This record gives sequence, C-alpha cells and structure tokens, in this order.
Amino acid sequence: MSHSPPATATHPVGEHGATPLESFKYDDAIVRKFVLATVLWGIVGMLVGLLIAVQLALPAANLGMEWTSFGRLRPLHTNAVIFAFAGNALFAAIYYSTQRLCKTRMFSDLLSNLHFWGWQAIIVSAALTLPLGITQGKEYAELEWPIDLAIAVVWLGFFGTNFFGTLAIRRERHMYVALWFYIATIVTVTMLHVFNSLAIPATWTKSYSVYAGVQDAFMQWWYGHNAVAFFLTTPFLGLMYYFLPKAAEKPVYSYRLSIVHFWSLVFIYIWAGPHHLHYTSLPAWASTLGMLFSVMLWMPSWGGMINGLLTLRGAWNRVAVDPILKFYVLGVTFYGMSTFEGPMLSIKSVNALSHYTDWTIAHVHSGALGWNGFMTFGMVYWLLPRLFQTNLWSKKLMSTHLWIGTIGLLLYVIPIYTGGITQGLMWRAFDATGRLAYPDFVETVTALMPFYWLRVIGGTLYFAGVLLLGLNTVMTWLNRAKVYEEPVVTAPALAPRYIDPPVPDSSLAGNLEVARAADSFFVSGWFHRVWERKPLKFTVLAIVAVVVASLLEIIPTFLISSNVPTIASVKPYTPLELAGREIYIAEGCYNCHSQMIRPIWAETKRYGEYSKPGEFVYDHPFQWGSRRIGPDLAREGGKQSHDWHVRHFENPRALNGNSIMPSYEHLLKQTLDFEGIQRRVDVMAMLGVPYGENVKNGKAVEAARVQAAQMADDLVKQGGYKDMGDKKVIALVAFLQRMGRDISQPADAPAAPAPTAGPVDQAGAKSLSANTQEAAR
Amino acid sequence: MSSIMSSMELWIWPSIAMVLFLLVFVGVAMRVLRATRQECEHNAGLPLFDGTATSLDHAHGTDAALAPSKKGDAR
Repeated sequence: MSHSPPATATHPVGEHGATPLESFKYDDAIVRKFVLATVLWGIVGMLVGLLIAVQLALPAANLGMEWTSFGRLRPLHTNAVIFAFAGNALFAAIYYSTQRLCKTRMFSDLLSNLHFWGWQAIIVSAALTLPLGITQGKEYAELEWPIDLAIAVVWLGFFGTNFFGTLAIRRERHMYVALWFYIATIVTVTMLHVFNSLAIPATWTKSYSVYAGVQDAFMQWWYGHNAVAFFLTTPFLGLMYYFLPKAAEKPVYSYRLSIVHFWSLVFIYIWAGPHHLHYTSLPAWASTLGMLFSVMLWMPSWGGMINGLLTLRGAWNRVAVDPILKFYVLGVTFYGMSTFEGPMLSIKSVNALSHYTDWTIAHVHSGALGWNGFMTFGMVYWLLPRLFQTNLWSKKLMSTHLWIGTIGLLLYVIPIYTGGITQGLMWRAFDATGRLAYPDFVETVTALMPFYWLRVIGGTLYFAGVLLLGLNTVMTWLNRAKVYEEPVVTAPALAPRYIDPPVPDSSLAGNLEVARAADSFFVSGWFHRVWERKPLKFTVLAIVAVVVASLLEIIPTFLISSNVPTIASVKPYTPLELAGREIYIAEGCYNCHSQMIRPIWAETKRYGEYSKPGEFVYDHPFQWGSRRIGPDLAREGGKQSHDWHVRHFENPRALNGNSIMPSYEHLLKQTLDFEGIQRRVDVMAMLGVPYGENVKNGKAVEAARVQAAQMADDLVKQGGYKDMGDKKVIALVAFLQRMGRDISQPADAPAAPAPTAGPVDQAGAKSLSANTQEAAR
Repeated sequence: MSSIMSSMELWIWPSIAMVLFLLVFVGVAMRVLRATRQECEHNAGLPLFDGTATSLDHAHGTDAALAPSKKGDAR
C-alpha cells in the first residue's frame, strides 16, 4: 500500500525488509459514539443558545430563576457548542480518518473509550457547574480547576496518547496533511489550556488565576483566539481535507497548496490573539503586532478555502444533487467569509467601531454556524449510513435541513450585523453641540430589539434544522444493522528500515560547499519531505512554531516593566469587595458589561477617564469583558447610591422600564458566606496582592463584617431595605462602589471605601421608586 | 531579566516575528515548488485509497475496485 520512490541499483531507497500483509479492523464503534454525542450536544448547546437569544428580546424568558439567567447560561451555551458539539464532531472526524489514513486501528480501544466517556463526563460537569455560578470568569475557559485538570488528563493523557500511538503503529509511511492539522490541534490546545488555566485553588469550586490584569487579559485572549484557531479551525480543516475528497470522490485540488496552507496558518494564527484587545490597556505594540499577523492570516485562510472549493472541480454537477456536498460548499464558503471578516475586524480603526458590539457576535456565528456547523452536518450525514450500515432514513429531510439551516443562518447573522453596526454608531454619535446623541445607554439597547427578534427567528430555523438532523440520526440508528459488519482490511506493515532518497545535487556552481549543501538540503525541500513521514519530528516542529510565536509575545508583555506602570493610589480590594467581585464573576456579569474604557472620545465622554493598565494589577482574574449588552462599569463606583444598586438588582425594570437586565432578587435573600472570605484573601495574598496584617490570620472576616454593617446602615439612611448587612447583595454593591475610584484617590489614601452617600442622597434623598426614569442610566 | 528586556527597544520583537515568518514561509514555499507531480498525486490520493469505500454502494467493506485512474490530477 505504501508508495516509495523507485529504487536504483546504486542507491536503493524506500521500504527495506520484507513485511507481510497484516489484517486488521477499524474501530468504528468509537466513531459511532462520538457522532451520536455530537448530535445530542448540538441540540442541547443550540437550545441553550436559543433560550438566551430569547432572553435578550424578552428578559422574562430567564424563567425567574438564578440558574437560568443570561450571565450563567451564556457560558454554558458557548462551552456546549464549542467543546461538546464541535469537540465531539472533531473527535469523530479524527477517529474515523486517522485510522484510515494510517491504515491501522487506533492504538488503544481502552484509551478511545476513556477519552469518550471522560469527555462526556467533563461536559456534564460543565452543564452542572456553570448554571450554579461555579466559574473562573474567563471566556471559553470558565470551568473550575478540578474540571480543568480532568480536561488536561482526557485531552492529552487519553486522546493525545491514543492519537500519537496510532501514528507510531501506522502502516502508511506518509502522513497525509489532515494528520498535520490534527497534530497541531492536539499540541497547541494542550499548551493553551495548561497555561491559561494556571490558577491557585481557594476551595474545590473556586480558584484564582495566577495572572492579573493586563497579563491575564493577554493570556486569556492568546487562549481565546487560539481556541478558535486550534479547536474550531485546524481540526475542521483536517476534516475538510479528508471528508471533502471522500464525499466528492476526488483528491484534494492541490497538495502543494495544502502544505503552504498548513504551515502559514499554524505559524501566523498563534500571533493574532492581541487583536481582541485593541485600544485597551494592553501595550500598543502587542496589539499592533496582533493586527499585522491577523491581516496576514487572510492569505493562508483563503488558500485553504480555495483548495477546498477547487477540490470540487469537475464535480459541481454532483454538488447540485448531493446535499452533503452542498453542506461542505456552504461550510467552506462561510470559512472564507469569516476569515476575510476576521482580519478586517482586527484592523484597529474597524475594531474601534466593532468591539463590544453585536458585530462580533455576528462574525462568530457566521463562522460557528456556517463553517463548524455545516462541515459537521456534512460529515455526520456522510458517516451515518456507513457507521450504522444502513441507508440514511430520509434524504429529503437532510435536504430540508440544508435549506432551513441556510435560511436560518442568514436570518440570524444579517440582523445581528445590522444591529451591531447600529449599536457601534449610536455609541459614538454626537449631536451638533458636541454632546452624546444617545447619552442613555438603554436607548442603544432598545434600538436593537427588532434585530434581536429577527435573530430569534433565524436561530429557531437553524435549530429546527438541527432537530431534523437529530430525527434523521435516531431513525437511521433504529434501522441499523443487527450486527455490525467489521470489514477486514489488509496492509503491509511498515518496513523496519526506510532509506530516504539521496539528497539532490545542488545546481549551484562555483559556490562555497556550505552553500551547495544548504541548497540541496533546504532549497530542494528535501528536509520537509523527510519530516512528513516522521511524526515525532513533525510534532516537535509544530510545537516550535506555536511556542516561539507565543513566547515572543508573552515574555515581553510579562517582563517589560513599562507595559504595566503601577499607580500608587491603586489598592487591593477589601475582603468584602473581594467577596462581591466573586459574586460578580459567578453571576457572569462580564458577559454583558465591560470594565475597560478605551481612549476614544465617545467612551470617555460616556463613561469617564479611560482605563489604565495599573488599575488592574490586583484583578485575578481580569474582568474587562468583550461585549456591552449593558454599559461599561469601569468607573461605576460612586455614580449611584447603595439603595439604587440594591433596587436595581432586585428589579432592573422598576428603575428602567426598557432594561433587559435579569432580576437578581436572590442576592437580596441569600446570605453571604463571611467565613469563606479569609481563604480567598489568603490565596490573593499568596498571589502577591499586598494585603496587610489587618486582614490576615482570620481578620478578613471581621473586616468584611464591619464594612458590610456600615454599608447596611448607609443603605437604610438612603431609604433602602433593612437587614441587608449579611446578604450577598451588600458585597456586590461594595465591589461596584469601589470600581474605578482608586485612580482619583491620593497616593497615600487607604483603600477607597464604599461611598456613604450616592448621587441620590446628594440630591435630597429622593425616593428611587418614585423617580425610576430619572435614576435610570 | 525584566531589566534587560525593559531596556531593549520594542521594535525588535515584531522584527524578529517578521523574520521568523519569512524564513518559515520561504522554506515551505521551496519545499512545495520542488515537489514532484508523482509525489503530490500519491499524497493527495491517500484519503481515497484507505481501504474503505468512498461510494455508498461499497459502504460496507473494502473497496478494491477504486483504481488509481480515478485519482484525478493532484497539483
């Protein structure tokens, strides 16, 4: 089966040593499991997505429960669709194609099953913990440390070992390009996950990132961007390079282009993360570097798209009648559109408008629903009859899925593109007198309502398509073969020795010997040809490509002192504020509110002084956010009274009829765990936060109680509720009242206390409930 | 280490990045330009000749009937 260059009498090359034909069977049982899990989690993840989309248009759809609020469900949605739906899909693709490309069964059936069940256990853990508010508060990396450890074990220990073990026992000498993408996926995701998740546990369900502020933001978006790159792109490109030729029954258009595609993509993608932090407190050099590499990324991405589409050359007549090929064409086309839009959004001037708006959401969904979704659907429909050894239950339903999904996708993204751009333009609009045209943030929310409803309709259609896939899967499974036939495949084992063809002679003449040798070795491409059949060397090179790029961005960001100038007046959070910050994270407030005012006129006009890197040095983790469904909160401290905040949490629409914020009434009822605060303060001190003796050795609890009692008294004086001193809401208000105030304090001042009187008191203790619209932002 | 890096000019980091990228890109470009047609066709055809069927008609077993002539022209 293995091809070798022709041997010559003088220099025999290729396989050496007779190897008998060996018989083996592919393990399709594991692929069946992953395919079924893909469909199941796709339905669950998208149902949650649909629910939170409805909540934006109709806040009452959170069912009045704390577990189903937007802030808690949004991480569940993103984790479910990325790691459960797309994750199981990429595992199905890898397990099916790797065995066949290597002409061997997977290295270990036990590892395959440990991987499958371990991954499903992780998904279930996520589904249980995220609605409970157990989260690290970092987007797409929310899961707490025990689950993070499990991910590392399952991903690298089970999956990685099994994959590389399979490469080691393969019977095909050359590693097809899809395998390269899988290698890059495994090693890079391992690296991203481990380094971004480094945290010190405070309890079994709470840990604090070892990074703070700017560095944490950098690590998070290095991870976040490359999770898209190496979890949602490279494995799906591997899928494309294998399943598209299979479905089209044609080889990939250009193998040469695939080589350029792979290395360019892997090398460039890893640099691009900082484009998520334009105009923030991240050093400008890192942000600009991220932008440049993002723009360069357009070329390899389109190289891959073109390679995919041109694979169908001469087969377009089949595309017209085959829904599977249509899924692939749409998927690859959406890949092309997303990878054009991504570099465009990374350009600073474009990003200034798009960042924090729904434009980003539209971009993400065009990639996720179009590229990942349609490629997955195409693969699943292609696999179903082969795995269950029967006919697909309904080709008509598959075709209906295609069209309903396409219409749903367009109906989803077009309104959100429109809404996002509208949102960005409204935020920065000024009237003729130089004042903000829409000073009340909620005006920009109200303007989006029609788009939110259209998105619900689009999302419902897309989801309906996925339900059709589920129905087709179940019915095909019910009609499966009584006993699965397991074809015996034969292939010769790789010979123990393989002699490479001789290094080509250099065409250079009259040069130094070293130049001729370099010409032969490098210029001929001989070196790479050898690596392509050496998994270990190839893996090491892929690691070098991503590590070198990462280190060149990470090390300067961490070590150059001018990147994060300290501010003398910025002090650590008080124990009560720290507890409040934890509630902020648990409720997922960062999903709707940013804490980062960019140095843009419209932003400083609306929110106040722009954010400085030194303001975040004690923020483990950072909470800059990536979206503004609600207003930025970086300078929230002191803008409203305690009473306003408490009533706002109780019922946002009582203060502002157009608000879409969920009610957090439970925070007014649930008791704060004062005793647990000490552990949190101790961990923060361990991370380098300069807490003094006043809050060590058990004194943090006392300090928190004192501050809470003081705030509760102030609350009553403001006409607010009594007996709030031991409730969670008081800690959260303490945190909110602290936000962004240190920078305006004198350098030698103690940590800024929560203000005792807010604007409402200053105005004469007006009754909030009687002045709801005035108090609304 | 922090002092050393803080004293360095910032331009050096993106410059190193660009040089590294160009080296990698040139190396890969050279490799593909020197690849033979025969080698590319063999490699590109690997998914189609993996011992299992492509066509649904042969979905339940190995598909020896797939002949190299169906490979097409890989570039």
